[in-house]
Amino acid sequence: MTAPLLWVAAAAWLAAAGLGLGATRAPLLWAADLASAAGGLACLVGGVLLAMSGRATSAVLGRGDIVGSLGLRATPLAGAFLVLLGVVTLAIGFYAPRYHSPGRGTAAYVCVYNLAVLASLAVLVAGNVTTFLVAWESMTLACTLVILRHHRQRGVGHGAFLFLALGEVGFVMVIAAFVILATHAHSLDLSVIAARAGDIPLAWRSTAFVLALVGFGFKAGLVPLHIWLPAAHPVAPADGSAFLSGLIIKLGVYGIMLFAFVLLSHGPSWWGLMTMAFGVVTAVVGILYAVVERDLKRFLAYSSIENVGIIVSAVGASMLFTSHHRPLLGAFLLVVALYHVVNHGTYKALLFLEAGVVEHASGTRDIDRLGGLVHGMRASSVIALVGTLGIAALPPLNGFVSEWMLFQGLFQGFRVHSHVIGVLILLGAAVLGLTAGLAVFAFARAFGTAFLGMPRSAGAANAREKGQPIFGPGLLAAACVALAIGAPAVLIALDHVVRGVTGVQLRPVLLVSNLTIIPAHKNFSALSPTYLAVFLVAVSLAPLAIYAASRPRGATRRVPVWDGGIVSYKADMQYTADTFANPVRVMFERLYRPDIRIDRASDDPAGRSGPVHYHSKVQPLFERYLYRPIVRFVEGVARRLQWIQSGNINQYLLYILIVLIVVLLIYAW
Amino acid sequence: MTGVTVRSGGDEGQLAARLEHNIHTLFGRSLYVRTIDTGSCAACESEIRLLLAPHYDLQRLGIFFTPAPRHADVLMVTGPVIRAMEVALRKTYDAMPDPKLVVAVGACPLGGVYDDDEFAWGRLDRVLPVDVYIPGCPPSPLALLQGLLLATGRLAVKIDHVSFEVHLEATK
Repeated sequence: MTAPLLWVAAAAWLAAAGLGLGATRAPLLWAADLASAAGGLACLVGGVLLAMSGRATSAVLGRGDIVGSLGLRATPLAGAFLVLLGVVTLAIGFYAPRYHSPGRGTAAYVCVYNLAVLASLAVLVAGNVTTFLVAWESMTLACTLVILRHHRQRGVGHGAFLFLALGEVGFVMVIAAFVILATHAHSLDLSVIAARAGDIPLAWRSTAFVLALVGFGFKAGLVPLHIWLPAAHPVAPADGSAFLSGLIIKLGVYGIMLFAFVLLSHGPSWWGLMTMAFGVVTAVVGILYAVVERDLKRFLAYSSIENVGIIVSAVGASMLFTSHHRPLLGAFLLVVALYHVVNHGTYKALLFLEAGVVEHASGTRDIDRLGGLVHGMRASSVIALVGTLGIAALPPLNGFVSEWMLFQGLFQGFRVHSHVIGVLILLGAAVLGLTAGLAVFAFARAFGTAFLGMPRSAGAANAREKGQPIFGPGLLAAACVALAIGAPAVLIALDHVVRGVTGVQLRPVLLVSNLTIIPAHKNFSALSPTYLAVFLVAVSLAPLAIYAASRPRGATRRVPVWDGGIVSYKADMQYTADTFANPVRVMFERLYRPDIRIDRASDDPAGRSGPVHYHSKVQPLFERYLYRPIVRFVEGVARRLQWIQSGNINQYLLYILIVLIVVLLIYAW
Repeated sequence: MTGVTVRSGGDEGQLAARLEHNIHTLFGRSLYVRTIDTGSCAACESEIRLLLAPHYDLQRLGIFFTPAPRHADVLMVTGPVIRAMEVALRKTYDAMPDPKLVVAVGACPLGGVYDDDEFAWGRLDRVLPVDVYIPGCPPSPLALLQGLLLATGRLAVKIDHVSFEVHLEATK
């Protein structure tokens, strides 16, 4: 049943891409996006069925001797990602026709977006190396075009270039990793490679794994390979950003998982340690940059980096536990990683869609120019709040469930026989604890400053909900709630997935009774997200009930809330996003290295005779100290080699002739 | 409990005893005072502060100062009620629950200093209904104590006038 559904999804997206070309008129825009949503629904159902079946289905199309056949293989591991792909595209399908206005740019955009979706599907169901690589590269190119939607605006070209350039560097590494495996396994088929991987020498396996980790890390946004995220996300359309953050960076995680658990299972301990270290550093650096970011979408991009870090930490810890003969814990952490993949894809897509709504309604993405949006945009605020609670990992929403399970898993570090590894795992847990705390801080800042309080600009004051998309993000909010309350069902599905990958069955340990989760280890901890949600709602309703029952009914005088006798509140009196984040900025000054500039109207030290302006800008550390030297080096080498490129076509033809002769000689020899 | 007469110049112990009695019966050892400065020179404030000194020891009588008007029974106003403070003054008064009392402390809110001034109302009773006037520039702590005593007597009148029947009927 899975394969037909996925074919339906692919057909729907292809149709949507075709219809999208006609999206210069509104009906065709709607038709294209609803077709895309229908594809999402088919993909969602197909993914659930695939995950629950726990078995892979494959199909081979065509037989070409030169480039290989189009091999398709839907594995349960991909099933989890297919569910996410389905959810995200379903929501975007309902969101996009209200977000975009019909026109030529939109027509091209809808077309390439649906092609990007199709390419992502192809990546997830690729059964051999060639198919995977072609799909991966198509996905990168289509996403570059998605980012280039408003190509004339400032920064768009830069963001798209970074995405493409880093994507290509990663792609070369991924090709190298696959080529190493394929030449040693004498096959391009992924399942054959997986079966023969044990015979490959460890040095080659390690090389392939490191290449894959770094190569896919570029797409996933691991620090320091992350710099395309904050550049590309703010300039892409909101639904494009939602797709990039919700799904594309998860494809990087999928690639890492593919190598770590399917192609090269049972690696040495340092693979896991390296992956986990990568993840932990990514998480904490990502959230630290998010805390001080004022651009709403760039803030969300940094938060995506943080969440990828959390996911990759879980992946690394899972590898560590597996290599230290704790297969149950290893499988549990893989479940956690997949759970967080789905969770983050859901609420991050939601938040990006809402960021688009905010930008359209108020005309700005600068958090310090927003405020008070809750008054004009009630439904959107509630939806954004659900996403915010989810991503801040606060109960009873879904982010809490997966992050809580992650910590329960990491706290089992002491069950590893090696003390060093145990301590390192717990150290990772401590850093992730800091990350989780900062995430609450960062999202309290973002939601509080943008949606609560008083409007800081005319745009924010006049922001209204009318005509803005609500159903699409609302769908994702419902998904967030369902992923929390339905945690046991999610875990059962993910258990099927993980059993398909690692062969370990967790369910008898994980879910003792129907609604209570016993993560990691018995006699350690237990949680029921379902009961917790019911309890928290009941607890918050209890004071209301008591008030309603005991409210004095006569002789009541209503007066305003006591405000200290202030004559009138002004928007300037409020905390700004910058002041709210200032303690963190001061504490982690070494990381931010802020360029602080103070402009005074006069030399009077107290600034009494004019306004004083305070500018603070976080330094782009990685761009400046890591990428710039590399770029400079490459440019220097290129300048030395410039003489080869004369621009004379005859000379180029000579090169081709020489290469041809050399190849023929090698072949003959 | 109405119409408590105050003999001026009564000795401190007698005053205190009567005040304590009134507070006990009316408020169960608890009368909360909120002070507000509407442009005072701070002389009245320093006298009010002295009420907490061991000589007078206001708290032994069950009278306390509070910064929250929501908790206050008595509003003590010092200063000539400058217009800049009018909104704050009204907001504070509105924020206090009924029954409540207003005590004008010192010569300023009684109209003794800035009675005709473009920046000040000059008299507190041009803005709020005043229950007790305590003259003096500044009034001594003993005078303040006497004023509070008078206030609690007035409070009893106010309690009599708050219609609790409405409330009871509604809850039946």
